[in-house]
Amino acid sequence: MKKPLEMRLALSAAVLAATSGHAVAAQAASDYRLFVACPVYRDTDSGRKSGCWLAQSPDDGMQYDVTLAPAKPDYAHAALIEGRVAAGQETGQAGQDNPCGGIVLAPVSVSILEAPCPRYMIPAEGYPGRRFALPVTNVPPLDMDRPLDKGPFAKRSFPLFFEFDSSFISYQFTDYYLDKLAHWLRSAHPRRIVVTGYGATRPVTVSGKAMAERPNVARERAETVAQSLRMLGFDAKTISTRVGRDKGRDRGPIEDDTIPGLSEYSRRRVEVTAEF
Amino acid sequence: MRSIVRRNCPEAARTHALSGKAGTKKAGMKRESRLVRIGSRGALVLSALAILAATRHETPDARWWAPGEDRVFPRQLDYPNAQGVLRVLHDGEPVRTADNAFFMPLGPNGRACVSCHQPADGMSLSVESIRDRWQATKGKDPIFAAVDGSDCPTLPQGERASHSLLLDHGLFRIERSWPPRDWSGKDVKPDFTIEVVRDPTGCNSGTRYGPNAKQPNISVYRRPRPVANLKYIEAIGFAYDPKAGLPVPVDPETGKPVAGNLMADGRVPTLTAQMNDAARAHLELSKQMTPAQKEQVLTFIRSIYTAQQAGPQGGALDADGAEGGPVTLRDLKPGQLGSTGRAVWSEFDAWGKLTPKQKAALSPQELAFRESVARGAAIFRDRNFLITDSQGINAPVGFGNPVRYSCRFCHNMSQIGIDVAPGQVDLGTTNAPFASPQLWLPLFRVTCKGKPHPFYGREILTHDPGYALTTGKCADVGRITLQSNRALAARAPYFSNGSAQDLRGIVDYYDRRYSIRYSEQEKQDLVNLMSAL
Repeated sequence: MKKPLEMRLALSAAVLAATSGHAVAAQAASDYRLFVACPVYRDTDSGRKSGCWLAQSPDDGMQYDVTLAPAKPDYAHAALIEGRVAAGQETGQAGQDNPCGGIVLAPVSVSILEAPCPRYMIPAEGYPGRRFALPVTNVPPLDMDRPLDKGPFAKRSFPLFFEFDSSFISYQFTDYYLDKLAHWLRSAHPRRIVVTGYGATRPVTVSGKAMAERPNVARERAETVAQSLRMLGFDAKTISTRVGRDKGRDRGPIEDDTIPGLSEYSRRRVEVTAEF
Repeated sequence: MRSIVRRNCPEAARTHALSGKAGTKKAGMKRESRLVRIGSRGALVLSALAILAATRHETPDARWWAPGEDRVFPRQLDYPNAQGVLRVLHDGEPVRTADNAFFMPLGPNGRACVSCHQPADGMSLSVESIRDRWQATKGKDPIFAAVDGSDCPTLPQGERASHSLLLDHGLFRIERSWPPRDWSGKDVKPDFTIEVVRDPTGCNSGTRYGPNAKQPNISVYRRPRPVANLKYIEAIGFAYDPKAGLPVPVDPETGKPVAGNLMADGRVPTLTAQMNDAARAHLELSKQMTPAQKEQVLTFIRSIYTAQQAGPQGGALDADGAEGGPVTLRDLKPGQLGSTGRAVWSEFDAWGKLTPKQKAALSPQELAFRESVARGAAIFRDRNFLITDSQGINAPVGFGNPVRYSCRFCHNMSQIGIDVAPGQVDLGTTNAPFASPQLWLPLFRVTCKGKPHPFYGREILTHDPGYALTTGKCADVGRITLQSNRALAARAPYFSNGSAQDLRGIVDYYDRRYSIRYSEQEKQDLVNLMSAL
């Protein structure tokens, strides 16, 4: 089920990117959702990590299931939510695959904001939640045999994505892509590694509020990734950092299948470019 | 063997007391109860002797290993305790202690590494042993040295009251520099201020001690961590530290990655750095140990494995398919995640599936104990509860707040129960409102200068800022590195500040902290499991 969904979303992302200036209008009319809400924890119990996270959009009043986000909410803080309504969930009607009691967003990202929220926890009310399954974006253990990638190698860029206003490398998501990148770099031996940080510093109105990241966050992201590469053993002399210009939301999502079609998420990134 | 019996008397007396307590609580439930009661003094001594006789391994003449003695440390040592018998394996040739730096009093205060890392105490130091030493030496044992074996060096030494934290709670004074220093020795600019709210020992006030001293420092009080099973403590399972959002830390001296699981506050990256720190702070060496001495100590401590080997009824913990005891620890690979490999405490799975024939061969007490241990392992792994407001779990990793999981969420490394990732977690054991008042400990007010702490807010009251005394980050206040779950029966009290007097105290703390609502049976099963580790 995952591949067709990703392909579909990648296609919609490409369409959005192609329409450029019309991207925002196109997204508003599509399955794209961007809002701020106080998250609600539904105490389902299908084993470890099986609780549900719900968020009611103040924009359309619908309750969304945001549990599939790589980083989960904190019920004491507001959350910035960006996602796409998953296939088969468009109507939000009963009878659809609905383990948590909300319209499923997938892909979806959740950023914890500083604004406090009342702690909302509701009972399972018959919803089963989801049994935990190890995500595919799980870093392999060090004792696993990993043969080096085979060339030929050429100039290539790798994006790494971050939560709002944060340079934290998230577990079982951004760390996975960083690990993949590091493995490729170990195989390719590039002459130079250029780390460019981006921040969503141009304001966007979300749920009636103007939101923009701190000006320094792009630099912090680039430095976090550069530091990580140094800690992973790459020669500091080959690594340089830059800050890229935020092209705003009109640019649309970058073309990458990690977070298909999530334009705000794609503004909060680092690009690591290997040069030969 | 006579000396063992003699030494066992206090142990047996404690056992008797425990037995009486359990019996009172569960009066009227004898027939149906599956709780395991520890046998009488005589039964324990006899069963322990039977094990020792059966194993035919060398047992020391004296339980206490004093610095500077000339003895032989054999391949195997067995020590009776209130929960059965602890086994210490030395994976190497026998060591003559007079020739080994681990046992030598290298500094002026007469201490050696072994002073605080006693084999009978699982290579840590139990409060019972501390009290025994006070009585036996009238307070002259080097463990009571003024530098950290008294509540504060400024107090009149030799008086019991001046050593109350050590004698009552097993706590040594740990003096941290303020502001903190990183692993390279450079000052860290903290993002919080610290004030002393309460200073019962006097070691956080004045011109020599405390954050306002001429050379500012902060005294906290902690239990010694066990120096055993170190291949697990040093193991690196994954390249990333999810709690830091970075790759695992790198030792500035070697440039190599390290596990990040040493010391309660993670103040040193390697065993070598730990030796340097301990030699200066605890042995009061004015110069460093020689490279040869360090190598000797490293070789020795890396060869030591400890675990409980026999239960309270005298039954071997590796009988009938179980794999308790230190041999499993010695022989298996470290750094493995229990959720994807060998499940944590699956060593006792076989006891949950005993055949009728196996059951028939056991005494009712032994059968009840084995079944309880197996249930305890399952509860440890699978009894989920909501984990809330714990830095290192609920933030910043991305698991969410709250998140449903069990003990094995953090205690996830196979065979040992530490965290495969660097394990600095705030369970609230040192922070208000979760920590018990512990009026004998200092109390600090931490004020975050930048972002508030994700769960405590701008101001935090704490007995011990823990990891924050290394990183300088207010978000790390109260984060304490998980420690080995092995040989617990030999080294009460528990938690870094000794706040759990016994194994039941650990379970009760978690039960209250996370509103788990364990049943009485579940609590006893967890206690029996921990007693068998």
